[in-house]
Amino acid sequence: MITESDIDLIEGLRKRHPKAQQTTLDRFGHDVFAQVVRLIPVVENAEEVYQDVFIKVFDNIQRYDPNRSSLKTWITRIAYNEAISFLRKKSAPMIYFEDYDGEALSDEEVDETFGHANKETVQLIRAALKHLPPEERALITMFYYEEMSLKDIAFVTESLPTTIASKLSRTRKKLCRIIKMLQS
Amino acid sequence: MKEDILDTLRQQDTNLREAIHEEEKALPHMPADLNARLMQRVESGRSARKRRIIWPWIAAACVTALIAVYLTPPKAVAPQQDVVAKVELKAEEHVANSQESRLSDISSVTTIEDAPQVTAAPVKHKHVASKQSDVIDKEPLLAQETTETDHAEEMPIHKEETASTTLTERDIPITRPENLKYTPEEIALMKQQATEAYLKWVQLELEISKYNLEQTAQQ
Repeated sequence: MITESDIDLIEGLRKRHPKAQQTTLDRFGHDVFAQVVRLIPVVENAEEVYQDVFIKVFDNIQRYDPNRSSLKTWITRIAYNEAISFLRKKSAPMIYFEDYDGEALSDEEVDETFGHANKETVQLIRAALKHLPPEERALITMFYYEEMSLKDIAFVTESLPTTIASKLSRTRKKLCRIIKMLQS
Repeated sequence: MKEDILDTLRQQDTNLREAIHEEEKALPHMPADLNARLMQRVESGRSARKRRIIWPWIAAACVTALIAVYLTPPKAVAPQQDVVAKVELKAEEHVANSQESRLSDISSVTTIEDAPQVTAAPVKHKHVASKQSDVIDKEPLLAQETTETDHAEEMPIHKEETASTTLTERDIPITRPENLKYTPEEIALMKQQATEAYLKWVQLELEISKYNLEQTAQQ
């Protein structure tokens, strides 16, 4: 779970060595910024949150427990929480597509929508992703793009792996429903 | 179990994965100087933290100094010494008064009106305290010559005189540095007074002897 270079890095961060801090930024900075800007599209705000994330990482490194997660997952968790709390505090409330008790979609239909390679469907999915709330979009990205395990996603979102699995299934069907809505 | 199913789905959902990849590519890139700005902020925070560590100590030192200044009494006023001075003054007054009254008693006991009386040397008030021990030594001798009834009469007078007056340390002659030593003028004056007193005492003794001789002659 934790590499030898991570151990050295953590030791350096605990001693507040500027070199270790710079290494942390070089190693995890791009991923953290991508994660933040995914949730907060305004770059200025994303930069502010990004800085807050790493200030928090440097200040709270003593509280990091290597037995619970890797350093990257721990930093991702801080970034996720910072971005979500920023959205709740400062961002204007947005209205997103919500599930409704319409026609039930079969699993086969959902698998077919996402499974068969189709450029048009890819564009539809991209449009549909914009209609998802930030938390669900982050969940889908963590699972499909960053290929994180359910356990790690649960750690980042402070939830349970089973809950994450249910949320993923629900979000997948929701996306499919949005696509159907966009098609119609 | 559910994780396995989801892992399978992750592999199967090619459209979804490709869409997310394209979305990620379309995201704004990280500014090149962002990390430099962040490190600058971290450095400023570090120096601010150092300042935060120092200033409570400076504040505590200032408060301690203020308390010390506030609680230390000024040099001109010493309340505890005032109390001591007050008590000593009473004792001093008591001794001086008793000395005066006893001397007057002696004069009343002696039947010879014309005989020169032995009085205390007219030393300045400030000298009384310095000679306090001498006066106390003389007291037993004087007490032999006085009667008990005389002492009984003295008591109410002393009670009235104990009405306290608050005096500072400067009012006690013994504590004045200039009084710790006699000046040459004072020594000369004391010698002169002692000589005069001795002469008067000799005259008194002569008068007493003369009187005794007359009495003996009459008998």
